[in-house]
Amino acid sequence: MEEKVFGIPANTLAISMVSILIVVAIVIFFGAFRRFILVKMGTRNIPRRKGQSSLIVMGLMLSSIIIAVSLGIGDTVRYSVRSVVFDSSGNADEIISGPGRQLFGIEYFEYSEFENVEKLVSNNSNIDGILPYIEIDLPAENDKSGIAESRVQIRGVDGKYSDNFDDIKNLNDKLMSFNSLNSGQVYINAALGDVLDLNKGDTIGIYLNLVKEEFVVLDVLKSRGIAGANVTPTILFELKTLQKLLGKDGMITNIAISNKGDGAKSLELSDDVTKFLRSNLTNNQVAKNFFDVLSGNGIPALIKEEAVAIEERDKETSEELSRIASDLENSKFNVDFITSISDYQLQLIILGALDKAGLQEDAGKLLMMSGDLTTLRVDDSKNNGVKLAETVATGVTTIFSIFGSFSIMVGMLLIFLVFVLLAAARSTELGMARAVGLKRRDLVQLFTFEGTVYSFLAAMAGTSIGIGLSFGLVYVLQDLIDAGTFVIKPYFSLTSALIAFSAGLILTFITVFISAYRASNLNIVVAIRGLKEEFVKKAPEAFRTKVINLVWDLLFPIKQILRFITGKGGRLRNILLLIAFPVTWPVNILISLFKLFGKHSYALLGAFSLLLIFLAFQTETFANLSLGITGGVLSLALFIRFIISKAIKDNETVNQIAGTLEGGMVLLVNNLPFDFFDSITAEWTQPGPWFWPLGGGINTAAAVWLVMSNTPLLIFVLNLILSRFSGLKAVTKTAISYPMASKFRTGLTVAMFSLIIYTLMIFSVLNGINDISTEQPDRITGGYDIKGTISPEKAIQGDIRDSLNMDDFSVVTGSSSISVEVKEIDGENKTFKSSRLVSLGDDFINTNKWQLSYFDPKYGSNDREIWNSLSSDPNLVLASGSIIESGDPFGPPDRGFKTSMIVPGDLKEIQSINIEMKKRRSSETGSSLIIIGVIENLAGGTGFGGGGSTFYSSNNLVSTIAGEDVPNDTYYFSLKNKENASEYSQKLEKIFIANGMNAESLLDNIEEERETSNAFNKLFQGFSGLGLVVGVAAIGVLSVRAVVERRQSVGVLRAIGFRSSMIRTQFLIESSFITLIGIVIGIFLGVMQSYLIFREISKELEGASFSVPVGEVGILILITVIASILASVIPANEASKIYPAEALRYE
Amino acid sequence: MAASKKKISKKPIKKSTNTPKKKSTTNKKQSPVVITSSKVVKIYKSTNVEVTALDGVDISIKEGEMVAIMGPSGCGKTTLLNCLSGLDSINSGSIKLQNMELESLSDDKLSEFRAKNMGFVFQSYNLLPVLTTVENVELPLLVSGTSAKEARKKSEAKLDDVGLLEWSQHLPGELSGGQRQRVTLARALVNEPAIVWADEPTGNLDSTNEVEIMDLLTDLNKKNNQTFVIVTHSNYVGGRANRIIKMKDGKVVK
Repeated sequence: MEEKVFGIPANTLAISMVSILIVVAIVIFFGAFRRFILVKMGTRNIPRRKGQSSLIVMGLMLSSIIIAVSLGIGDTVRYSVRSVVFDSSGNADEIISGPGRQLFGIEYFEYSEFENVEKLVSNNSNIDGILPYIEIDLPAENDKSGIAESRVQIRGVDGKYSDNFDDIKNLNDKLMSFNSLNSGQVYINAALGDVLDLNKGDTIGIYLNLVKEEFVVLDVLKSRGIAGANVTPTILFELKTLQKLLGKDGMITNIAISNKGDGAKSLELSDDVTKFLRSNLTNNQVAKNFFDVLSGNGIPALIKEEAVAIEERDKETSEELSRIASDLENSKFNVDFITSISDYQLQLIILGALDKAGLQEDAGKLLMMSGDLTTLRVDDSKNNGVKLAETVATGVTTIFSIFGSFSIMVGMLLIFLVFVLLAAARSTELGMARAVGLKRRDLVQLFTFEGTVYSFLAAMAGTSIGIGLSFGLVYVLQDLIDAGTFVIKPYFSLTSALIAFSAGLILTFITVFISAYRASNLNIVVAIRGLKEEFVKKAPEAFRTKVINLVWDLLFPIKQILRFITGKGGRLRNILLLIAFPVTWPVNILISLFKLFGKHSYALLGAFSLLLIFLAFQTETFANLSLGITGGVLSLALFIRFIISKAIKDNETVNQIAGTLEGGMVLLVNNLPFDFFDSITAEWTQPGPWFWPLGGGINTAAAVWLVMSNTPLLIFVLNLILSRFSGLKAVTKTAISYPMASKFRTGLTVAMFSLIIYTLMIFSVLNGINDISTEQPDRITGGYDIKGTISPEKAIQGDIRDSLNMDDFSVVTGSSSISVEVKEIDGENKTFKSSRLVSLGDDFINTNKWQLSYFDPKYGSNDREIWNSLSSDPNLVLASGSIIESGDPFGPPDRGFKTSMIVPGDLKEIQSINIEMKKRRSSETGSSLIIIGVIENLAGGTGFGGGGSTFYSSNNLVSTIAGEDVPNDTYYFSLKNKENASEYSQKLEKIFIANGMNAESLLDNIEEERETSNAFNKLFQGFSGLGLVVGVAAIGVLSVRAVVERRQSVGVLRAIGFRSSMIRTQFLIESSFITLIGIVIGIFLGVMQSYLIFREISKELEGASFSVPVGEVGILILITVIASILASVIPANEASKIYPAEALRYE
Repeated sequence: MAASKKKISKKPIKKSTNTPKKKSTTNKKQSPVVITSSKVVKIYKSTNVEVTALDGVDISIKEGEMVAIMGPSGCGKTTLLNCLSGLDSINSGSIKLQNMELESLSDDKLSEFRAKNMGFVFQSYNLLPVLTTVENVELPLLVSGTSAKEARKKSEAKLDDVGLLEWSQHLPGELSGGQRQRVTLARALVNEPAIVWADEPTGNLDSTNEVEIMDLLTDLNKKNNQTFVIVTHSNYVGGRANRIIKMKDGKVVK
């Protein structure tokens, strides 16, 4: 499967980025070659100011670092998961297993089926190996040491085929064979050797049919392929021996298929081989009958509708349905159709669609035939594993890039700030350069050359540091996710390195270019004399000129060709603009339009916003609506500014009122509750995770704009507070006034801090929400201490309590479960979907402390009464919280049952829901049941992800639906002395070793879960906090610049009596003040946003309460302020050492 | 710019009514000496060059005296002013202000001394552009620990003295050159210093403003018996002083 980054194939992305980079490099080199003097002028400052240059490069590195880290972690995860897949699969590319008709336990099939498959594949040149085997889990024990493992993978492999299938080697790399095993001997893999402390020649006890039998370990094999992966302790038998031991003569559970070639090559064949096997293992006549039924009664159209309906939730299935529909329409009965229709999940969806359309008769026919359609299932396991690796890796990369995008934004702001300051520092020099004949574009080039050097150095260093950092983070991750089961191997692909380098460089370069353009836009007189820009305003262009410009820009390519021919404005420049027309054309039209509208640009913005809103309704896209509304509100505020400016002459007042409105209104609409437009947009396409950083950016910009528009108010309030400390007043007055006077650069720095604190706050607050597990663990554990699971084949005979010393336990209760299919009777979801049905013992019903998030008051007035009512009526069930659609953007598509009757956020009291439930893959009519309540998500399978939708009943409904007796597979234990849970879980495993019980202390699990989740949060927080480094660097750059700019002022202050310590304090207060404004805005926005997120998740996360972790926020503020003070200590010291006479001499 | 449209204040500068324009200098002869320099040498060193800016300067200035230091460019006038006021250090010799040996004071003590006893007027005004007129004026008071309320009151009174009270809330950038220099004067005098140092106070002004500023300076000099040391190129300014110290090549020549 092709690697993807941000949804684009990685190789394509790398190639396009490198191509862009090459074009940019050629242009820069060409420009440099033509005017080398500009390169000299631009770059001479780099070695001269080494400190400043290093600071700039450090700041610019951030984008590359973050991109490299995100990709690096993705690469490592992909590589590691792939390694596990390849290790565990060995040569097995596809696995064939039984038809899946069995309700529980291992499904065996006849050896003769294997012989059929063998015949089938003998002529297929893509397949070079086939291997029949049995695979089950059994408990095993080292008799000598007494170490036991309740679940060990046991494989019985047919020696006749194994030698040609896969190499098995012992630890000395010697080839071994299954044919060497006699009936009392086994091989074990190194993983089991480690776990049970077993070596060659030792004896191992295996519980077969609940009785322990002993075998000699003939040798210890390397963990790989058929010998079981590194993470899977495995015992290997010769097939016939195991068949006999299990009483399954002539039966197997699986057939492994090996494709021709190794590694990636064999994977490429996987699709073809799977298709070949599936079509051949499907009864073609039955498939043809399916095809015929589905071709009539307008069913293809129905299938198409269904494809559209599920497109968003499950793209893969949707595409498959569309293909089936078109095959049906075109009467193309082909291999693809046979392969697809053999997939049972797909059959269910089609049956559901028929059911919905009232075509019950056709659905019934198909259901009857369904059982005969396939004899065996084919699973392209290796390919799926690799796909999983890709999905996980892409997910990790996406999460890290989203969190990192805030820091990238901050990094870009820093670049901008640096260039604003560089331009300010050199304005006289640049003004002179312009005065003696340099053109504006020469200045752009000059800055671009300088910026290119910075960007290049930064991208190089950033990518390398990012790769290193990603490895470091990977090791931290490895610690977090329990390294014992999954070995992470650090890896970084060349493609990723290229992407990180190019993306970092391009991002930096774009910002450099924009900054360079802004810097070049100076007025010569203003620059030379150090005046304010306002002194020299350009005369406005005539309306006619603006219209003509717009017309030319509408015909941009023609304009550029003409300009190229006539040589006006530089041939090179014109041809470059022409080449980049996909970008330059719309940008030029936009600029011309805004120029044409001039001070009425709000109307233009309004029109664009309306267009976006219109498009939003047309395409039912929420992102468009949200952006349209934000734009609309902004244009309204700009219109108000226009009106106010007519009424009030004082510019400052106009800016204050209008700025407040602009920032405030955008903030308001951008922070509406997420479900504010739900009545209209509930069914619309929701924006992807990328919308979060975008919203964060808009929020920050609006808040900073609002605050910076109100500087007079801010100064007034601060002076009011600080005037109480008259000793400090002289210092604070200047410390506050200077940054408030340079609104642009202060605003930029404030925005950087706001953005970072904003993200960190969201983490802090959301991290605090999970703490329900500490306060009310019973809601997760149900009040039980230990949960023990066993495989139903090794069911505990008789009453479990008889094997226990009941003095230690207050409750011991069990449950059984089977796979079922469920659909709504009254609601919209009338397609049978897979689910699980659990029947709980009476003790469980009477003692559990799980709470309900919804219930029908008809059956009881509180949670307890509802639970009790389960016992009174066998047709009543409770459902797990996972039957409610959650709309989780990160998760895989959930194909289990969902109800249409409840949406998150509904009131607790609901009306009961009628459902039909039948056992899996049965063509019989199901049982009518009533859902009388929904259990909190917290309880889902006793926490920890819970899995798909589950129904809980009493009175052994499981056995009724199954039509046979289903033994218990799960036991819950409450201890009298709850502190002994960990110890008792080990004891229980020991007592029920023959049954392979896996017992775990639920509170320990919660603790582990919480620790992992906290550690993850801290990791992400740390990663997002990288941006703080940039913010602090910005403060450093700003302070250095301030000292240079204000030498003379410092001289005056010293002359009128400021002590040197007062000057130092003034600079330190100044940087802390800027930082603090950023922090306050960040905290405000962070708390607001996390409250909105909390509001949304609390609909599903019961018992969550909102609180701001004051301590953590305090530490955050302290660290940030101290860091920025430290960053400005050196420049502040320098300022304090300024000799007054020397400073005043520069008059 | 909003303020540029505002008419420049023509409000007359308040003059002290009980002091005549020309006053005899007889009583000054008995006044104590407040500034003394003896054999002051100041040498500037760069990597290759050594310049002797002051070469054994001996002067003494009495309390209430208005002294002009004149001489050609580069003769060491500003350096002398900087050294006398403690803004710059000297290589040898000694300077006494109000009987205090400047060299014996630490940097902080010197700052404190400046805050309480000195006022400065510079050619290019050197007002802080980010503070309003009144905030600029009150800064020396705040530094020397005057309460905010008191400082505001005194500053407004001083601004009234120089005829700029109605401009108190404006930023320096919104004032004309003459007005800015008057603000500088107000700032120099607000803490009623014993000595006011002025480096080319009229250097950036036209003749009308030059006359106005000098009227103001002489008036205040007489009214408060403050000592004024003015570095200037202008013969007019020199003419208004009680005494002229002429310098050439780092030495006092007359």
